[in-house]
Amino acid sequence: MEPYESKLLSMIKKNKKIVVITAENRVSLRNIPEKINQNFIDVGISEQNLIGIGAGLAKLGFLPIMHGMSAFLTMRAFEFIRTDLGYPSLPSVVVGTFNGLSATANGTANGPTHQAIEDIALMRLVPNMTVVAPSDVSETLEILDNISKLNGPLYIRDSNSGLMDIQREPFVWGKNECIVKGDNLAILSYGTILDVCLKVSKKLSQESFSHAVYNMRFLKPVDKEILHEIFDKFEKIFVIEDHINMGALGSIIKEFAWENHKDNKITFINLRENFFRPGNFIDALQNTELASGKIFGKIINS
Amino acid sequence: MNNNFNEINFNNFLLACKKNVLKMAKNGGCFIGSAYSCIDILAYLYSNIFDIEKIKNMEKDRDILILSKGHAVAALYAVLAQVGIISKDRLKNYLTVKDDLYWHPNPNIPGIEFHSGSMGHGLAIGIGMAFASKLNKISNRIFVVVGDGELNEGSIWESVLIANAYNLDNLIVIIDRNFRQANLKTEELIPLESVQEKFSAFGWETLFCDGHNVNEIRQIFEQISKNVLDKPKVVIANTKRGNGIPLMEDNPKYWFGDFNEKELEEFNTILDKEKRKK
Repeated sequence: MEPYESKLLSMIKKNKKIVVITAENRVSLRNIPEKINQNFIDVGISEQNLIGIGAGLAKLGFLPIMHGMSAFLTMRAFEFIRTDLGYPSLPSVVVGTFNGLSATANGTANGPTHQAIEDIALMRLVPNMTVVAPSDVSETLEILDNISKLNGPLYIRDSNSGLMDIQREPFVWGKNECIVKGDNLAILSYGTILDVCLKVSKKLSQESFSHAVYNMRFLKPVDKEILHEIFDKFEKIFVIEDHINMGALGSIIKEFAWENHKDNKITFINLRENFFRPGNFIDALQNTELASGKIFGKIINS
Repeated sequence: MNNNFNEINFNNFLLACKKNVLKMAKNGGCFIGSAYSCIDILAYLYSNIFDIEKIKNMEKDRDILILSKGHAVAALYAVLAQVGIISKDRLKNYLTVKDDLYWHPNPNIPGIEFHSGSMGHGLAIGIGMAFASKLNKISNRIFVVVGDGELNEGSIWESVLIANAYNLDNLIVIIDRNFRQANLKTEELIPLESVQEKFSAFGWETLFCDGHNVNEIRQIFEQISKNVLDKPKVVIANTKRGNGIPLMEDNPKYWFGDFNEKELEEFNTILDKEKRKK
């Protein structure tokens, strides 16, 4: 049994109001259907109904955790998410997998139909929605530990990748964290690409180039406190994400800088407006600006 | 359940509901054609099937109705006012800044179990609620009123498949089959017939009634209450848009209506005369 499945099981044991729903996306749920019986509902390949059914359950006091691939959840079912979860602010969890350059099961091999490279932008548009992008399974589990406190819907951009080898600060709901401390410049990232940024960080450290790395997992509401800290401390800021250049962390940073009259030097590294060329994770990554060597080059020459 | 049914009382009740709708057919108007198409069934459910006190108190085992064809909300508000779930005075505030009554169901209004307006959502919501009842081991029922034009939406057919897959026998769909959608006749745009065969092929128990004949409506809901088959149920109610006011009946011009006081007075008189014919 995977840690994500064990977590769901233990949560349902304690809280019978949790219902796990999926639009036949069972990658992260293989071992639990028969263990939770009626608290598991597979609606088949129908993302709109996945959300609508979750909304009906949530309206009557259940806490649905709805699973699907990010591309189909956030685009095909967008109106259901916006109208049936967002507008009534129903406590509920939408878990999207295979997003950005998600390395899970070589998800990068799927091609444009399956690429979710605008999901954060879309989910940030939904009223009352909280948006979070964990970078590894430990963070996903920390997020699940907090869902009983929700007073609206939550979108988890689940990278579903294994455990990262880093020292984390204690998890605080709504707060982002500094995972590498240093001077000169700050690297801001989240999700799958945070691991790539840590590789860059190691190389920078080998070159004795002092820098900081921030895990910007909470994308809505914006953690303004940490942004003030970052903008006050660092002249140069690198914003690195596996998302198009609209509506996600890059936009958050631009809005923050404008609203607070900041003139820090900010570099944005992302997928611009492009689908990425499909392939296994390493090769797909190489074809984007997000390859660690390219990020390293931009930082060292900045 | 329905032994005390009195047709004269029901017709009086229905007339009062229909007159309530006229209170919303001005100053910005309402979808009166759509409302008069399904109002007989709504009036019957709220006067003979539902426990109004349970709805008022939001008791867990209350029957739940979702008006998926949200455009017809004037009919629902009219009935909710007539059974006292909302005050009749509130209808005077319709479309004004004083209140929250507008062209589609607002969840802040007592008796509105879920907002609607965008087609093809209510059935999925109803399925979620039917699952909730099963999980809570409550034997209430979830009624979802769907327009026939609404059957164009793909999400409806996802729902129809899912309800069958899970044998949601506590789910009752009522199709307001008036053979019209926004602008055109359903059969001239996207033919739906045979609706019965479609639902039957999808594994549903299918029932019919004349949606303006209270004795047929009554029989159907008595049959449904027996819940003989372990299946989701659909009532295909043959109806007429704008039923009860000859000028509006099946007239595409009166899907929506916004009238002056003189016209409304005439309609009130027509409704009285129509009732007397019964």
